[in-house]
Amino acid sequence: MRNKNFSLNNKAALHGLLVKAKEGVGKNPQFKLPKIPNDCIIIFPKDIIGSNRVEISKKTIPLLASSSISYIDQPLFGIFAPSLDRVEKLIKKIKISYIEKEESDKKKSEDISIDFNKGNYDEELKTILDINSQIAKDLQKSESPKKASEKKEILYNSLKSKLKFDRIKSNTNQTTKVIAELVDDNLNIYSPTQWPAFIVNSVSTVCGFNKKKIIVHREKTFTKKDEMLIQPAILASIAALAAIKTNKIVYIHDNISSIRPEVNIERETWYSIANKKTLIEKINVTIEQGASQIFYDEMSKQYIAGLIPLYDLKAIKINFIFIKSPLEPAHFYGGLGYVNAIASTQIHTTKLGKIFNLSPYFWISKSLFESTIHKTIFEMDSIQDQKEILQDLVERSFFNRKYAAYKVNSALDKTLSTFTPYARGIGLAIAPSISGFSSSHEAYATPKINLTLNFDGKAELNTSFFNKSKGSEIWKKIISKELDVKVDDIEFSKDGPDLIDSGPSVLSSNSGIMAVQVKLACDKINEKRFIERLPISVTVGGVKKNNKTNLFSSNSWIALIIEASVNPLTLEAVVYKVWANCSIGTLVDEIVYKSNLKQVIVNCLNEIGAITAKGNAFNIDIKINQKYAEISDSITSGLKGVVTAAFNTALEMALNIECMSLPTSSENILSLIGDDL
Amino acid sequence: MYYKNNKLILPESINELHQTVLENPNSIFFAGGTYIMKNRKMFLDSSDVKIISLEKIKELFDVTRNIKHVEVGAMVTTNKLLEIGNLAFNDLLLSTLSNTATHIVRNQITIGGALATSNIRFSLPGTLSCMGASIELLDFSKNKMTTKLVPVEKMYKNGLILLEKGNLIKKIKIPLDTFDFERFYCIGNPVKEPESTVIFAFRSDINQTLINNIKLSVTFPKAGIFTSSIVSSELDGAEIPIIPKSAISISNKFISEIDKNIEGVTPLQKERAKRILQTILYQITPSKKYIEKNY
Amino acid sequence: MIKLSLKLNKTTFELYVDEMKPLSQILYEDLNVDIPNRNCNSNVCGNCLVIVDKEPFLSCLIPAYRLQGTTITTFEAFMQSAHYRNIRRTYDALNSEPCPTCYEAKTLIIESMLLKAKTKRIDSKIDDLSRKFLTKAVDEDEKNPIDLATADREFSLNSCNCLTSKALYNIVIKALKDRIKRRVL
Repeated sequence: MRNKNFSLNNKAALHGLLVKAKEGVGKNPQFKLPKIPNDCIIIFPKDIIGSNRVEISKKTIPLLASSSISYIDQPLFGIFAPSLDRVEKLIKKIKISYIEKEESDKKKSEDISIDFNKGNYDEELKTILDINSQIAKDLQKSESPKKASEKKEILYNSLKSKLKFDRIKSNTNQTTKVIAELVDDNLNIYSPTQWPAFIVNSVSTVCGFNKKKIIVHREKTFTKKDEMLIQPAILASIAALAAIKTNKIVYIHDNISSIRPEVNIERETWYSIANKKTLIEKINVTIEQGASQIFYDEMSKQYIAGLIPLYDLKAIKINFIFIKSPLEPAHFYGGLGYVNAIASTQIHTTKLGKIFNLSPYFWISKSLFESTIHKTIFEMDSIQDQKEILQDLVERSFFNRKYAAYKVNSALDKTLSTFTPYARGIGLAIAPSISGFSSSHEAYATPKINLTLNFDGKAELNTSFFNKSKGSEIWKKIISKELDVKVDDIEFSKDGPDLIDSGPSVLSSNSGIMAVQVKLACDKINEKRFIERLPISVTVGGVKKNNKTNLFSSNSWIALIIEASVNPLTLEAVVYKVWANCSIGTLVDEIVYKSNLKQVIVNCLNEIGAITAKGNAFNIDIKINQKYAEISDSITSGLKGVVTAAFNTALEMALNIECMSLPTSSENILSLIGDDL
Repeated sequence: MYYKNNKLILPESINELHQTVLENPNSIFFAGGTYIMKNRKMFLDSSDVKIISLEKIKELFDVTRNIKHVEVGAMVTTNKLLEIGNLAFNDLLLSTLSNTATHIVRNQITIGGALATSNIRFSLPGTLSCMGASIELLDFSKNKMTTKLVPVEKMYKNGLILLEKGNLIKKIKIPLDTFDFERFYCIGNPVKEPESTVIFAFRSDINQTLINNIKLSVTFPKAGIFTSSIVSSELDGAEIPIIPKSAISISNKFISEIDKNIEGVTPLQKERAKRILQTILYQITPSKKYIEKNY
Repeated sequence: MIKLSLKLNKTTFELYVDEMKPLSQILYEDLNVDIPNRNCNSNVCGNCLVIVDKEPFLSCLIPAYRLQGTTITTFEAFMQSAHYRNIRRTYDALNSEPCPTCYEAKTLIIESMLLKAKTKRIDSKIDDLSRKFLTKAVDEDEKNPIDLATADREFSLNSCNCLTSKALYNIVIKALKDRIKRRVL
């Protein structure tokens, strides 16, 4: 909620904008300034009291570009005046030039490489290649055709697939306003944010201000793509500097964006032709993160969780390269890559089934959960449940019949003709869903919260996660149920230095994981209730050494089928039907949950370049199976992954061409089909 | 009467407007303002530019009608035109108008503005040129104001409007002819995706099993409007229904004609234009029943 | 610069602004009203809707000089009205509502469609002969005041795709029926 006490006509206020580099990557920016009026101020890197860098996830990122510009749109300086009109007029008068740096000054690119191995891939590959070459030699010598054909049967072959996810920039289009005000000794920051503690730390580092005197007042925000994770802290730091120097209320305005990095996933799976068994797999992942490779370690864990397939393998080798490049930093984008990884795995799985001449359903249900490697990464539940869910989904959607029909049709010539348009396909995918950080991330794997039951029967929940969201309504319901407290008697702790840092509100941590934490806190209070005197206060979560060998655990699974076609007139990919079966824990409100799932599906389809059929032609059919007693984990990441995979598979079937890049578009489809008519 | 400021002028009659233009040669006309406000930085950033708003000139809001034509003032909004023309206009024009933006934005889009945008073409010019509409232009560049009547299809070349400085669209003369077969297609959004959008207007008459009196225009928002002569000549007198082989051959010739005559058309636009033409050709049947098709 | 006199949510203001300054910027900079997505840099996002003299407009397209003497109603003020309550009831009944990004814009688009829709309804209790007569006299439009294609077209103003066209259409039709029933129109 915007603070109504702050008026933009307040003459004691300053309004500011960040001036960003439009060119000159790798060069040294120089500024020619006009005469700056006394009531205006410019914040350059040299004006920073503390450090010009903020630390995040073991990496530091610069606040303002100083001696070298790392990427286009990097902030150069902040400029403040009594009104935005004056700021814009001043900006027009400032001349910026870019001076070439000497060779020795230029830093070389620092790519980061991470490897993940299970089993001995190199040895297994050597064995396979040796056997293959031996068989090839025998075939050359062999005189009997029967023997030759028998030998051919036990050959090993490999399937390669590639998938590219384009770099996407998502603009909120909304001007974000961050306000800084010095009141007595306290520095008040009003800002939307997914991580208030990061703002406190950044402002303290940049301004040299005592952390306990920095109060972050959280404003309401709706972030689809984690736009409010890092940028508000940068804005707040610069506004805070201006507020400290001028002793005025400072507003800083910016259009914040979020970027998904470009990702290339290449997979090669060796398999035995005779017994249709997968043997070993190698996956190369290159992620172009731009000028700062932050969160790369957690990103690799999220990718690993999604890349490891459900079919069995003797060995797997995954290599990540996080490329540093002169582009705007790309990291969180509604997730950290699990969705892309699941999409790649499921698309590859379907292709393997095709090689083995099995329909996706038979191949997936045959190979499901056979992976021993997957079990080391994921703590999972009963196989039988997921197989039943898959079977029910396939029967409900008549998948097998449609798959057979579309398969025959896609082999025909000119399916995209305007005269006989019939480019249709159907895709199936299944995956578990994860939320939150991996167990290896000690700080944020379990958000820290504090719950207090007061003597007047009221409860107070202390967490830095935003408390005016749909998720917070669910926490209240859980507390109300577990502690027998009225919903209206449950309060959230106010903003201030005593607010507990629950970590960044990303990766759907504020839904399933927070609900689990709240329930845990309630259980602990109930253990002490009627034994200890009120108030009873418990703290759960936070940094702890994790002895878990599994990176993730999940009680949410989703299986999904998409039926799609290509419009022969517009060359757009159109989705007609979506069927989904979810296997989850307990829910608070099933109807609202289904409605949210539909929104996620529609949004995801739009992101990957699909459009939904108009009117009654489009339908989403969701069946929810509340299988587990514990609270359900978030299903968003798994759902997006299977939507992406199923859509891509359906599109490939409709076009009868491999589609290796997402999101798709009419231009992409045109380049794939060439001159069809 | 003038607003007492440097930039904005609001004349109240055509004569006043003439005087204003003579005194302010470096000025832009402001009709509905949707395009100019959307591109403020391009049009309004310079402090030298004078803005002449046309909203107080009553003559530009007139609508008159006879048996053959409707004459619509340039400041009539698209919504207003849709309302008054609901029973008078043919389906081609009504489809075009109802497919222009949405009801909320149509309250601001004027007919003159829709025709006179400087560097992008929307759906109305193509349809009006297909219908044989013409524009009454006022020339304010000299001391004596002159009027001329120009067919809509002659107003555009290479994506640009051939409207000289100091010229104003006063009225649009729209014929009330109806045709046996009319189709309007708009694939994409000309405002959001100008480089992949294709706007197609087609009309013809059907005489038993023969097709004649064919006219089509295809609009590529950035590249311009194109009226094909090859399609008209190939189809004139042809028997319907048109077989797929002919449809494909005509559409290929159509694309070659586009390649020769108009620059800046993207491959996707060409492919879409080809497919739209084929679809239209397959739809032409001896039955005169109009099948509504909205894209 | 011009002296602009307008009413914002029942309060009269007098401002000195540039004559071509868009309403969205006036609301943000001069009147401290934050319109969501007010500055999409000509991306035509369709989110900056406000009500000007009882009609919804995109506030980024209206220059200041056209606002002389007008009454502007922001979404917060609209939320106090019976019309909004009708739409809110429909969202709750169907368990389907736009996401927070486009909630205001889509609600105002629904409101504009409901205002435009004809409210004449055919009484189901009339006899067959009268019904035939009425059916001939009444336009196609009036039997079905809003069709799916029109609704689809109207919602395309807003670029957010959180709800399908069918879901939005159901909301509009249900809200319309509710208004007729409660005589809110």
